[in-house]
Amino acid sequence: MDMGKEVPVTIDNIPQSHSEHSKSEEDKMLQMELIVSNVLRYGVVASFIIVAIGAIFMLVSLHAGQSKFSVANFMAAGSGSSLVPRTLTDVLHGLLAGDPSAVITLGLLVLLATPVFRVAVSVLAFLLQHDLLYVAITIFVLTMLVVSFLVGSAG
Amino acid sequence: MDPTQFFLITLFGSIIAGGLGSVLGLGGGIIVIPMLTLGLGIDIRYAIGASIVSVIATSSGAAAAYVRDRITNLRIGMFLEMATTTGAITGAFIGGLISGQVLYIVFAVVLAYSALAMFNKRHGELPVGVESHPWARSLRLADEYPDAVLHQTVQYEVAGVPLGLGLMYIAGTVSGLLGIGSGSLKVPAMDLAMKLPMKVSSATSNFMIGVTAAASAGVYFARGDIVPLIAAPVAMGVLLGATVGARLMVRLRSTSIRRLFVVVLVVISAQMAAKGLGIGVR
Repeated sequence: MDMGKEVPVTIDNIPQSHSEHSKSEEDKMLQMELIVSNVLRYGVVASFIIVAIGAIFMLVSLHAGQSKFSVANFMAAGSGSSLVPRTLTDVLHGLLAGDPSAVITLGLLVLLATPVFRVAVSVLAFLLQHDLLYVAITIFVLTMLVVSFLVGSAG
Repeated sequence: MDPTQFFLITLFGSIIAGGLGSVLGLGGGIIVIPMLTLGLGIDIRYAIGASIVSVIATSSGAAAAYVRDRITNLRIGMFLEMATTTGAITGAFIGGLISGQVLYIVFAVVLAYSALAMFNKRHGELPVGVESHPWARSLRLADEYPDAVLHQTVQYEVAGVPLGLGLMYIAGTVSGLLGIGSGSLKVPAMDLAMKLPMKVSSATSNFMIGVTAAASAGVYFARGDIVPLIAAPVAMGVLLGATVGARLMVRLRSTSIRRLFVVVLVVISAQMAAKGLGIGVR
């Protein structure tokens, strides 16, 4: 049964922009949102390209019998994880050695960084809007993210 | 198994995962994990690592579209993420203390309850008669979004802010403990407790799950659970699927999205119950 024209009750009571933000605030928010949107898009595209390049080379090297990886390594716990780049130095060494798995990991790291960048850019955006409450909120979230990385690498 | 075959299967499955996840505000783990473990025999820890990649890919892949389309409520998302990220860290700390099986059962029950509650709302396109919580006013959470299907700008209020905050803390803790599933708690929390329009809940959840997953990603990466051979096709597929899914979502009716979500919740609930009871997955 289609309910069709259900409309929120609030529409009648509000004379102008409902969201309690002035027009110039709305414009700044839109600007900020577009910046965030673009940052994400570039990050995602870059990640995709890097991962794709690494994946193609990895598949080629697997077929040529030249890679230490195989699907079988990851079907039982324990044997596989030592083959996986696990720290930034691993990735760096791998890149210098021309290891495709390091290229893939680099691309994945770019991807994994995109939410963090998004939060960081939001701090700036709220700052530009002089929205100190949300600057504080966003810095809190960013701090928790940083804490989680420290907890992660220690644990 | 031939690596290229493995790669292509995972790639195609991930496209579907990204498409479904981006429409519903989920991370795609519901498809990625069973596909890898049951379908391809991969060990669960690497499947969870791949799921973390899937969540971030869904989030960032779809986010550009949702932000541009002004559906994501960044203030609500950021404010609630205070609770979710705190929860994720709590989850990492208490990791050893709670039996995994008990957690899965509890999670399954909560999801089943959410499915029922959302099912009861299945006819309503938009929320009606919602009063903003006082906190929502101080935090300026209320907003509006353009609904492409209804051809109107929908203005909405925000209720239940303290409850939403509490639920997000729990969602974050669960996510930190299990490595999955925060979207399936976030969307019902926003839909049922905070009474947001369905599309806003989905798009805002889509933003939030990326941040929550990033808080766990460091741990899984350091453990070597993010495997290039597995995570590469997942990342690529989900990114493709999520980009398309985000464009699709704006053209769907809220009722359709909610009904699809109920179905998915039931499936996830069953998956979690099975794990908790020790059936099947391992």
